[in-house]
Amino acid sequence: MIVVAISLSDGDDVGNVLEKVRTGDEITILGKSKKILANSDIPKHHKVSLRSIPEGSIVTRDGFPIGFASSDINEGSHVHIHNLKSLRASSKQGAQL
Amino acid sequence: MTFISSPELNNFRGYIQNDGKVGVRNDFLILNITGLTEAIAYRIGSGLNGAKVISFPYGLGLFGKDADISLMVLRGLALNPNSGAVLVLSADRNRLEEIIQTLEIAGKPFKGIALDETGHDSLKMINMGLKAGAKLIRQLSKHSRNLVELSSLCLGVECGHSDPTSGIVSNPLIGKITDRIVNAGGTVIMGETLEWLGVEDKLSARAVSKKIGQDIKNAVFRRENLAIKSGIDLLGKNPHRRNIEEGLTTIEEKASGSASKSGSVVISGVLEYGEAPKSPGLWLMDAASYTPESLTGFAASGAQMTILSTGSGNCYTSKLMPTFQLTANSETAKRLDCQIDFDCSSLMLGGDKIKVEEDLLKEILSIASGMFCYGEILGDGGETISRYGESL
Repeated sequence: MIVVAISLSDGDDVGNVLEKVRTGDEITILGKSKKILANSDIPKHHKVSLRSIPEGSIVTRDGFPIGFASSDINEGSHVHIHNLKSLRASSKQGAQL
Repeated sequence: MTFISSPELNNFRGYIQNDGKVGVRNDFLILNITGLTEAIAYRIGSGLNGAKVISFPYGLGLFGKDADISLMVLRGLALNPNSGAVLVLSADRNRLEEIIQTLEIAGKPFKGIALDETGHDSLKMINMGLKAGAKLIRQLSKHSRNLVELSSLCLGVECGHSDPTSGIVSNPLIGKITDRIVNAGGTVIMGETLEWLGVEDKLSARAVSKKIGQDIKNAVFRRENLAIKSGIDLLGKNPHRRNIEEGLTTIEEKASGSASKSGSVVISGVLEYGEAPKSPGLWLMDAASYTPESLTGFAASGAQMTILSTGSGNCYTSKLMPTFQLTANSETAKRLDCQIDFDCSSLMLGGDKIKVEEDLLKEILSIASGMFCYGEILGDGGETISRYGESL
């Protein structure tokens, strides 16, 4: 099956899928020529990785950092609370005041 | 900035109140300011057609920030231009005076009744309230709508139970309305400080001065530190369980969508909770993110209406302000067809942005001119003033 995803800014690490995705589905990015293959199931509207993201790297959405990868994320994977963590509001990371 | 040519989008029909402010409604407000008189207020309200009751259920034990903020917010709610007359109820005469002075100065029709003066006879107070209220309603009913400019509008922008569609479509669309209203000389207020977290540099860069830019950052860091010092992990709080189930992951992700409600215009300043803006423009309000508390802050600051985006549905509505709900989640729009006022889900698949923006502005101006939001019809809401600490 072919499913569409939205990526808001060029260079974003993640996009949102517009329908439920099954492993092996082809994901096309709205308005872009890039196509990726889903390597996990992804619920509707959830995020998919548009490229491989090594553990510890910053993840961007619409040009903003939205957290860091807490494990290696392969292209076409479901990106959610199991592999994306906040950079903020944690006593370990520390706020800036 | 998008250019909207239709001349009918530059004005609406509102009530010009005695103090010169414009209401989008002309309601009779019963403002109860002490917990002891709350039941009395609701009984008076049930006896007068169309009366809106707002009740603050605390009293003399408040001190410090709670005392200061609640006084400012209650005064603000009393002055909100959507009410044409106010009946203020209090257990205590001194507390009553603190509120009715403001109404007197503004020239707004009002009557204040203290339980003290009835010999603490609740039935007597109800009778006095019904009579005074009936007269006030008769007086405000003479008022009619007039054509006013878009610059008279003060809009709150809010999101509640967001999902990824909120950040992709709904909030950026609200941002276009923000730009349009501010560019026309109107006022927009965005609260929910925690949802500036991660985008505070970008918001700060849009501030009218360096000091205000720093105020924005300080407000974010202060609230972030409240969580850190309390040992709270924001995951599960904000974003909360429903946000996460729907596909949001971190506070930064939620904030990057949420803050787009502010559009692209200059930020004039950071308001205290419930503080009135000193001039038109876009203002940020340093406030809690929970919808009931947040909307009451807007109403107290003089907003006549709030636009609320939702992902999975949030039935809450302010009592004083029409709360216009929109969603870009087509399933939510279909499921909550007597709750969602505007469906912008066509934009998820790349619909005509300019047309949807114009349609939305037309709907907002229709609501400002008297058409009801579903929230007003169903009444699933109230007003809730934030608390900051213990009572004595």
